[in-house]
Amino acid sequence: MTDSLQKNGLHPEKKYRFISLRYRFILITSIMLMLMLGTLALVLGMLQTRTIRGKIEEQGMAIAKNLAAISIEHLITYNYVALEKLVNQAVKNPEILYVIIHDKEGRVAGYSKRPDLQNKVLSDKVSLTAVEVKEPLISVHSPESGGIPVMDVAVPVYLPGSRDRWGTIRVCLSLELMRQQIRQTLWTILILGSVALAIGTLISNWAAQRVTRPLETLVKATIEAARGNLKQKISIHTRDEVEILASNFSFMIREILAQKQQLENHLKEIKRLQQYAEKILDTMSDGLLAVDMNKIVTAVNPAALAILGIPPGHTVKGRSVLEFFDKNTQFSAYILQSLENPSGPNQREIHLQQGEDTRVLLAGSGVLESDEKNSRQLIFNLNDITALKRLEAQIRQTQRLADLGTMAAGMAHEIRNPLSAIKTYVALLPGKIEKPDFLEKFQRTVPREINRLNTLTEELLELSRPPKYNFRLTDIRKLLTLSIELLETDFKASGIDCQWDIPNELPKVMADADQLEKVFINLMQNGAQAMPNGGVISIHVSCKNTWVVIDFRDTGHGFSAELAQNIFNPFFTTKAKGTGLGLAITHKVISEHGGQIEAKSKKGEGCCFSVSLPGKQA
Amino acid sequence: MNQSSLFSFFFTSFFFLSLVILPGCTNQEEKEITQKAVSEPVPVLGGIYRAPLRSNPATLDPAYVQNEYGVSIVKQLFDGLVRFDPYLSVLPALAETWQVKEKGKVYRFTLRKNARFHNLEPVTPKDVVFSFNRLLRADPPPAVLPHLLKISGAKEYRAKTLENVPGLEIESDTVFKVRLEESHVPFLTALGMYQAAIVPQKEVIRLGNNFGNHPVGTGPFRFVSWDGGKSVHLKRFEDYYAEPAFLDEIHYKIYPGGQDPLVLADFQNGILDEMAVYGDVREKLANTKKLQWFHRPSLSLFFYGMNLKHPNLANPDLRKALSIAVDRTAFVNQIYKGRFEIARTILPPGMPGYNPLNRMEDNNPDLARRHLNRSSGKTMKDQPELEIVSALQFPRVEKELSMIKDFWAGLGIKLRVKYITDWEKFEAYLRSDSVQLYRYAWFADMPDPDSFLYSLFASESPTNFMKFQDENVDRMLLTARGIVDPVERAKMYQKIEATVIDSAPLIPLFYMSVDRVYQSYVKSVNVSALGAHTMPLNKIWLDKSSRND
Repeated sequence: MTDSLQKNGLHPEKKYRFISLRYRFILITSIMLMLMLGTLALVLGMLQTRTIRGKIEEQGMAIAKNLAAISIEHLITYNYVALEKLVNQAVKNPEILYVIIHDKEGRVAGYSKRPDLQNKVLSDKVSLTAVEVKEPLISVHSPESGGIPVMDVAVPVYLPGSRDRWGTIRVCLSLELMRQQIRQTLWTILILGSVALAIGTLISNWAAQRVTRPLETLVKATIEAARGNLKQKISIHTRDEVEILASNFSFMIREILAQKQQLENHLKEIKRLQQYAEKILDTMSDGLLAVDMNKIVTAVNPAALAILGIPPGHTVKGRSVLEFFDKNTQFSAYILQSLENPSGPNQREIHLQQGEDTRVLLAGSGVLESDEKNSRQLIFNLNDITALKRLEAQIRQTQRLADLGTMAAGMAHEIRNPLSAIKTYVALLPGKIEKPDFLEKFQRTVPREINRLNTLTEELLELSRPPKYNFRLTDIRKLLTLSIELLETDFKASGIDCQWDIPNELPKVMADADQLEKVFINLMQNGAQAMPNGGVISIHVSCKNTWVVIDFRDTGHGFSAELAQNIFNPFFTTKAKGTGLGLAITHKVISEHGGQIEAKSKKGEGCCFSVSLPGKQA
Repeated sequence: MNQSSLFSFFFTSFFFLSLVILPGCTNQEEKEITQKAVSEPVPVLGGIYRAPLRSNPATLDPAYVQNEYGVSIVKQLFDGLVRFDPYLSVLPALAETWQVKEKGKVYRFTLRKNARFHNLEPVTPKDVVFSFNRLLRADPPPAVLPHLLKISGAKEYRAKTLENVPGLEIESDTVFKVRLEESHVPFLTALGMYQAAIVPQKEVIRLGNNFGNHPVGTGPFRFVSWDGGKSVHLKRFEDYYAEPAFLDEIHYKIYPGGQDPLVLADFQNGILDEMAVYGDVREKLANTKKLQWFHRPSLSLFFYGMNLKHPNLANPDLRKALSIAVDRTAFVNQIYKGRFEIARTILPPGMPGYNPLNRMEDNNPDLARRHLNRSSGKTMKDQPELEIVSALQFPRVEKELSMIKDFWAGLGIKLRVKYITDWEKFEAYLRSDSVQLYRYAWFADMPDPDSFLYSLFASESPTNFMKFQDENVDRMLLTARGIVDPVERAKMYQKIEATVIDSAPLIPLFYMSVDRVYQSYVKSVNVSALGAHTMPLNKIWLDKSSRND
């Protein structure tokens, strides 16, 4: 069947029963003819039954009434012999099965061909009903022995002008004749019908062929087309819908041919891209692992196997990703978490223990969307940053040593200067102690330098002390306003115009208000100090995503890009005064608030310190 | 779907459609043909038919035959002017045609030209007149006599005051007239009675009293031999005026005194082709296959007649008491296995004049006792012993009479049984004054109540063994004969019956039926309500193929 379906161009998966159009046409015509014949037979049969039955009823009634008329005298005189003769004469009619005459008492006075029943009382249902009838009664019943139904006509016998019943005449007529006639009619219909059916079938076959031949040509063309022959020419000239169909089909297969060519080109391109992608995957140093929502690995590249420490040649694809990793590892947890929440934060550093070594992976994931949720896949990008991390640590170490050197140099410088002053005064002290100017200078300079050292020490302590913050939800606008108010007087005195732009609705920030206030004041003072001849300090607050960004901008002398790199380093300062620890402390505070600080400047164009703090939604 | 499966679908559909609209065409037709073939076999000539006679007939002269045994033979040997068909309608026999003139007073008969006696002499009006004259002077008087006496001058002829009957006039070689004194409706029917058979004048005169032993008739069979008490042989009469009989011969085997077991044994051994069904014959033959059983009610009555002239039975109340005391249902059920309809009237159902309202009381011992007490002041002990006479003597009859004895013993009446198995002697005893009760069955000679009521109760009737005499009844019987309207006539007979029943001259017991069994090969049996003994056997034929089975 499948072969034939394929042969006929139908899809084999759909289990349709193929019946050609021609046979359908013949079948429908034949069925219609048969239905018509059946209906005709039924109607004629019913009409004939009614007519013949009516005639039989009339006949039976006439015979019974006739018998009633001629038997009344014999019934009155109980002349059973005469009645027997009557019934036996009446029953000579082949359509009459039997005739019974019951006397007044209901006994059989005459029963055709059954003298043994004379004088008996019949107890069958039909007889019991018949002997009681007051009016002529016609009943059709089946004989107890089965067979063709018979018609029993029962006529009561009355004396003329009297209501005294003297007996009952029963005539039982065979309905066989009726059946025969109906059968004859039906045979006639059947024979004529068979001829009509045969002719009808031939005609419908001829008509169907006329219609279906071009269609068959078309079907052959479609089969050819289905086999791939799209270059054929279809020429059907029936001047009807079939011709239009054929023309449209020709157009369609030409279109298909063009599309096919295009598709082939696309396919080549796709194949090339596929190979390209495969090569990339194979050669890339980043690992790539694709997992479906059922945690089954759908793709993995050699780099991923190497990163994950899975020996090459090990079957990974099609197996659960959890088979290769302990559930408690970071990597497993990461994968499970990503699968549960594919759209969540997706880049993470993961430490993967491999024997005694620990690898650091930078893992990221992306969702490969699909129409069905279950067939979605997650593609994990695994970047082995172990070496990078090591290098980073080394750089950090080197930087720390360099920073320490810078700091030590700065510190030595910072300490040496006051110490030199103090040393000088202390050395001059014995000789000039008597001099009041010296003493005055001594008293003025030495404590000042000591204070300076003290301040330096405190700031150093501040910088190096482990933080002790009292974090609370803090209103930045309020804090900034307070800070500006504190410095406003100084700014005016220094000829500085302070401008600010702080939106009313700002996310609150988890912060230690005191520390943050110090930072803000420090940044504004730094700005003020950069404009000894006055200028403008502008404070601009904005919201970027969940971050609160505060820009402190001045119109001072600014600094170079190199300076900007070192500006947050301890002991780095451009000012004559100052320890060079203020911005380092500021950087530390901001960092410890989870924020960032950035300095942007160009020489002579002022600078801008941009503080970003993570906001908390109310 | 390929082409062949499509066509198979198509024709299957058509086939089922045909089945729906044409149920059972062919079967039914075949069945009918078979039935026709079975129901219409072609009669074949030949064979000897063997029938039993349960008593040796006294004579075969139709004028003197009195019992059914003689009748059954006479019916084969003799024809009358008319005959009865199986429905007892009158049909032409020797008379080809007739005319009824002068309001039923004149009958003009034309004889068949081809009718011949067994001696091949043609049947002439002279023979007819001779036959009638002979009957008019026959003694004992035949049953047909009362009808023949209606012929003008017949009474005078019987009284021998005239030497010929003026009512019988010969017109030509084939035509003669019968003039009646008055219209007599049953006259034509009476001519179908077996006694009214036409006999050859020459032969009767030649043979004299011996005619009864060497009968010559016009019937379909001719007499061959009669071995007294043993057998009677008849042969087909080839020159029969109508269609000749199919049978070659008829052999009657005589079983004097009944001899039921012997009859049954012979039937079982295939020596007999038919027998009457009585007693337990049906049970004994139950295992014999292919027998043809025949049952039909007959115009007959089985009764106990009572001699009204006998001092023991003169009192009507006593007679009523005897009748009322009998439980007929038990009687029929126990003795006759319920085969017969119990009788409470004289006329059997089917006989014109039958009236179910004329029924006698039955099985009422209290009423019987009241009648008995009224009959005489006698105590029960003083009741005379009654005597009943039976022509048959075998266990069933004895059982029957024993049961009757028991019924009447309840009334304190004793019964003595007398058996006279010789029919002639039996009938002679019935005619005597000493008869008291007698066991008797009456079969109508013709389907006319006259054949019952006149024959049994008319003062003049030779078969009035009850010696019933009632002028009123005699008058009504004669009047009834003249009534043309059948309904009026029937009413008259109902009245006569009621009058007779009132004086209870008989104890009706049951209406007899014709119950016979035939061998399977015996065909065309058609028994009328008058009984099998009245059936001419010329239509019977033997199916040899069936016999060989």
